[in-house]
Amino acid sequence: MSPLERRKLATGLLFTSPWVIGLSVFLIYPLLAALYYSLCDYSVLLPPVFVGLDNYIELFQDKLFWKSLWNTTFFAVGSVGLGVVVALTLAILLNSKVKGLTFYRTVFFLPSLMPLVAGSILWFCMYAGQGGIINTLLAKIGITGPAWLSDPSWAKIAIIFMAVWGAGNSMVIFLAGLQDVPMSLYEASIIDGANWLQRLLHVTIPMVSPVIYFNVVMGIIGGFQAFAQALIMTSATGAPEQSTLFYVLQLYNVGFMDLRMGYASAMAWVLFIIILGLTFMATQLSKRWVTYDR
Amino acid sequence: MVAYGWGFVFGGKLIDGDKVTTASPENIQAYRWMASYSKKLGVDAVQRFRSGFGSFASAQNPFLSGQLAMEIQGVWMYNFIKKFADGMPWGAAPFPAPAAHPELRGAANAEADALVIPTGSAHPEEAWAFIKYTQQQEVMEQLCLGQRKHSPLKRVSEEFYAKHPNPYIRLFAELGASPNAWSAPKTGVWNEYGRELTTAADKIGNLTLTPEEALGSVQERIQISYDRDRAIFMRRAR
Repeated sequence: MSPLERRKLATGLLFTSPWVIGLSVFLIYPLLAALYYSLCDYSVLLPPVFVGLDNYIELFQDKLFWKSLWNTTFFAVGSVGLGVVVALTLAILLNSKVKGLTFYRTVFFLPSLMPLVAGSILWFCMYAGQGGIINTLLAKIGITGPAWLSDPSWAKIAIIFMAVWGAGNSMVIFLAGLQDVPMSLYEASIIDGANWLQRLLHVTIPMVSPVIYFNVVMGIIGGFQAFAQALIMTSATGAPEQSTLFYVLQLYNVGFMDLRMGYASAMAWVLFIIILGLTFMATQLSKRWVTYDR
Repeated sequence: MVAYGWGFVFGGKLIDGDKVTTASPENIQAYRWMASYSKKLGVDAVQRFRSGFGSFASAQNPFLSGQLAMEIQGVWMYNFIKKFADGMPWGAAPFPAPAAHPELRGAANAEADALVIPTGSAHPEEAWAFIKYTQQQEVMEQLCLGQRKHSPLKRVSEEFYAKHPNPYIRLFAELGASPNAWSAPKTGVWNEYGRELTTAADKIGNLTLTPEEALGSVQERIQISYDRDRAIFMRRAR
């Protein structure tokens, strides 16, 4: 290596070092440490003791593991599915030329700026069975609303509705995708006699499918990490009747309440593999239905 | 009150030696009594009523906002009334014992913060001197007046009671000294046990499960955790 090359290498390394150091210290090290601790009995207060695969074996026999996995899957599927439909619908509506467009765009985007904790407290009050604003409004049109957060069959659905309220972020991404669809395609389809619905199904949706794919993947990753909503609105036990005991909430209970950090690390690694698997699956499926025009 | 307390009022225990005793007859009786309200008032009405309860340390606390007329609380409640509902008329009385068991009178939850010196502490002598200092009558009374609680010491001055702002402070001190006072089991699985009991109380209150079924499944689960925790404790002790 010539002196010039060596100097270039040093400069290069220096410039990449913030990222390299950050990645190693804050991502790779914790990941590997968690992998090691998942094979240990580790209470944080005392040094870890190696126990092999015990934590994983216990995990798969733990009914709360399966229960929390089911709750989380239900939430992720519900919030991603409903979230994409609502965000796309809003984006299509807000992509039309109406008066006061920027005002509407701001209004629908605003909720996504609300911090999760503040939003959760707000929705907790709105969901109150007696005197909550939602049930009061429902009563005005003759519907007796459920005891949202105290009824095991409604609590998860209530949290999904709250997640959809914050769809503003994906709405903005959809909006950008929609504005990227070439007008020539619409003009061609109009000449061919396509109506509004046909244009939506055969031009708009295929053209924004990469954006849908992006939002679905981000939604799955976020959905499987649901935590704060349940902790604030329905407590760490995942009340009522563990119907909102999400995976990360159970992980938090085991790790930070019971001080079983080894078991919690095993849960974290299983979650990592689940999310990785789902993302991979979405990528494979996307090859069939995602259209890239360039 | 927290879901785990009611069994004690009926003379039940949560752990007895190396056995987890969630499904003991006394505990089942306590939870049956709880479920009787859901049966009398209707599950839906109870759920609806409870779903508006705000968090404890807030003005939306159901007792402080006037939704609940009565609840089991401790000496700390004085501070919360003062902070969130100052001027609210209130009174305190011991919880009654079941009619068939007058000997269970004075059941109360007695918890205390413990001062400990961890293994490997750099200054154990100084730490011990500090602990000794805090346990003197005069110092303890000063601390307890500041925190508005009663003194855990046996000897308490009349001046302490005279100065204390809580009009029921003697009652709380008596309950703390009652032979039927109980505290949460001191075990590494207590957090998990508490969560399981909260869930069981939910299921029993919603009439999803009978007290026998719900408490039986808690006992089964916690016995496994308890055995594991004890085994780990023994291994660490070696």
